[in-house]
Amino acid sequence: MKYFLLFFIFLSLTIEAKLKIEISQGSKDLPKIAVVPFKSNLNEGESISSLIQDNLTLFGEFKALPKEEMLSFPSSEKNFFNRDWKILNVDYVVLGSLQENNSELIRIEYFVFNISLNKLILRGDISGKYSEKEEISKVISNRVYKSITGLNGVFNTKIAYILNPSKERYKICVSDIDGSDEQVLFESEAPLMSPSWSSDLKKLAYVSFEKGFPEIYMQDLFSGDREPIKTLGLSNSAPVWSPDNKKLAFVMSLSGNPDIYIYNLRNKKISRHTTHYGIDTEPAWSPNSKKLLFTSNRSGSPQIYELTISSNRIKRVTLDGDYNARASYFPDGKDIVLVHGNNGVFHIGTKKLKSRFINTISKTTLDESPTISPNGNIIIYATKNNTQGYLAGLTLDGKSKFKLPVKLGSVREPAWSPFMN
Amino acid sequence: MTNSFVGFLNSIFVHLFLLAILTLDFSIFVPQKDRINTIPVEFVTFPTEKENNSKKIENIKNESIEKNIQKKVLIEELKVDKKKQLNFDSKRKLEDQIAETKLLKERREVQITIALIQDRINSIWKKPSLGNKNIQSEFVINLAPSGEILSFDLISSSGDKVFDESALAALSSISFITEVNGLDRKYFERNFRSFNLVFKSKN
Amino acid sequence: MKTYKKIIILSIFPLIVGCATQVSDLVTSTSYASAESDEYASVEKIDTNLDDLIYFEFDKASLSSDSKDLITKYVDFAKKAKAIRLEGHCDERGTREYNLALGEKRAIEVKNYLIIKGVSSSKIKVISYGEEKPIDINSNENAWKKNRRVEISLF
Repeated sequence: MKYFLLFFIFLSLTIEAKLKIEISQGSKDLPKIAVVPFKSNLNEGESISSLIQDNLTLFGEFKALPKEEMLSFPSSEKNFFNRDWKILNVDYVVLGSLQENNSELIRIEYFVFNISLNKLILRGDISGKYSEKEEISKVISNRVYKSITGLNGVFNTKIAYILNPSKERYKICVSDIDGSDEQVLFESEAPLMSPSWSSDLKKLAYVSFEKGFPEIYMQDLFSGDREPIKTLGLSNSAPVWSPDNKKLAFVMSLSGNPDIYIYNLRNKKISRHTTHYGIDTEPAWSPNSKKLLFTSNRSGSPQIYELTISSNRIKRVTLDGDYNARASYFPDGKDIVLVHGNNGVFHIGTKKLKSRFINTISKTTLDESPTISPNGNIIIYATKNNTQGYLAGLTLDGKSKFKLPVKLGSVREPAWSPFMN
Repeated sequence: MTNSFVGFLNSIFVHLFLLAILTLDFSIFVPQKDRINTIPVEFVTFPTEKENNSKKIENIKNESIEKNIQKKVLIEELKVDKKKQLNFDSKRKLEDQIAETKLLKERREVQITIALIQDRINSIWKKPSLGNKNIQSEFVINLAPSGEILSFDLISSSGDKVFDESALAALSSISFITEVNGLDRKYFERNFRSFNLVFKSKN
Repeated sequence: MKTYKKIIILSIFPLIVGCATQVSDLVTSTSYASAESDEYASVEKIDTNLDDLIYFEFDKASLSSDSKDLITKYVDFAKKAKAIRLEGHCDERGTREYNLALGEKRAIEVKNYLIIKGVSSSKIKVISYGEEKPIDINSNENAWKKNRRVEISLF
């Protein structure tokens, strides 16, 4: 009897209270963006706008309106009409103009409009050398991206990776994030592994087997000078630069026991941070340089652990899955990306440090070496197709997937550079 | 006869007379009802207590009998009451059931409309990718019975301008929420005349 | 093949030198570059007529009894050899650095077994290539099985 009453009351309360409807999915459609060919007296306007368009659509986050479908070609707010774009269901319009000042310098003025809200959301200008138009376009793309998404753009960042064109040929390469402008930093007949950027973007650390055993080298990107880290162990690998640029975490194997060590770049002292007889490897720094994630099989299978450097206290991070490895922090320090394996299938996953749940985000099955964009929105990782390794990527919200341009040979171990500042 | 013989006879009579007087129970000459029955000392009780006890017992017996009767009466009364109550209850039950069915119907209709509205708004909301942020923007929507959006206002910002504006953009792009058109007018007034819409970055 | 042999021969010496510094606490700057010594340059690999390969289960470094029997066959050769090189490898699954460590663990299991059988530990050098040098680059059980190995070389 009384339950009836309660139910009745409850029912009436829920009906009588104000309705709150939740919207959380959003459209499956990508936002549509129109990059109008920039007006110019040089005929170069279109090359600038197509560079910008290529950048913005690089990670599959936007759908671009083809030039042929545009109803008008405004170059400033003066000849811009919202309705021309609203009827095409466009969400954002980028337009502008290009002026040549003298034979070398160009000045670009650009505008971004939000069509649904019918308002200008960005205007700016930039000057530079004509020969640097690609760099200039990247800067404009970053600013446009930020005005639309609120996130910092990554169009002028770089990616380092290992290229294995044939057996016994290995190269460390750095290219633009779209795969262009590839430069070979070092080439060897012996394997190369684990590239890692210094936070000031001046150096790259990596593992080389050129002497017959794994050794860590630090190479200056501008001078090309390289030197090995002198340690005691016969096996040194997995170098990672700290975000504060003062230290290098790495793995050394003394007497057959791989453990996590830290190399102080200033005084060249080495400190040991794990001692377990199992495998401890793959360190990754937290954004504040105070903690390390690492992989350890001390519990019987590879799992992720977190080490607080000052106290050497270790906490286990992953509980589910029979293989969890190669974890690294997101820029906010609260979430991690990792390789998550179950029954021989390996995906890329993300996990909040505070929650147990591991969210699988990749659909390919031999995934490894995830690297996060410095704005925390995109993940690039290595995977395999038949016998060739290639790099694939996806946005965190899962809406966009992409592949990096195919190379001659197997590509692996991508490392996204920090922001250029 | 001799004198001595008479004298002897006299003395026998006198002795017999004396014996009789001394030994005879003259109580037999006392009327029955005035006789006093004497009882040997050992068996003396207090007749009044015993009487009292039996009286008490009797009283108690009587009381309990009365009580039983009272009880029975009460039970009967209760039964009657219960019957009355049951009748009343089942009436109430019936009323409740009717009310509940009405509510459930309204609830169902409202839920269906909510789902349709969600689908519609989700399909036009270009949700920005924010990395990993967990935020929400809340709006209040005012509708006319035709479904026309009379007004919408941001009542709680997510803290992220881009996120708020994406929700605003979605709402700006529609003028009618036609999904409320088939709804019973009463249901509309109660639920959709004015309601809140919460845009969330994560489920 | 020639370059491969060269690399192996050239790398034996620094491995031996490296071993010595392992024991001491001093961070001595070992000059790796000058690896060669004539003595070792002329050392040839001993041909044992055996398989030279020990196999392992996925994510495991333990030796099966078959593996132990196979290793036992090497013991006599090993006792006579000047140097023994154990090279650990993994299949491509999982992560690269973890596999580098796993390959090393596998090679060490073989080393420890040889030591138990009486081979002098100072003769044995251990190196891991993780998943970097597969025998079979296909992605199937057959290929993976072949890649999970320790290669034994006697000099």
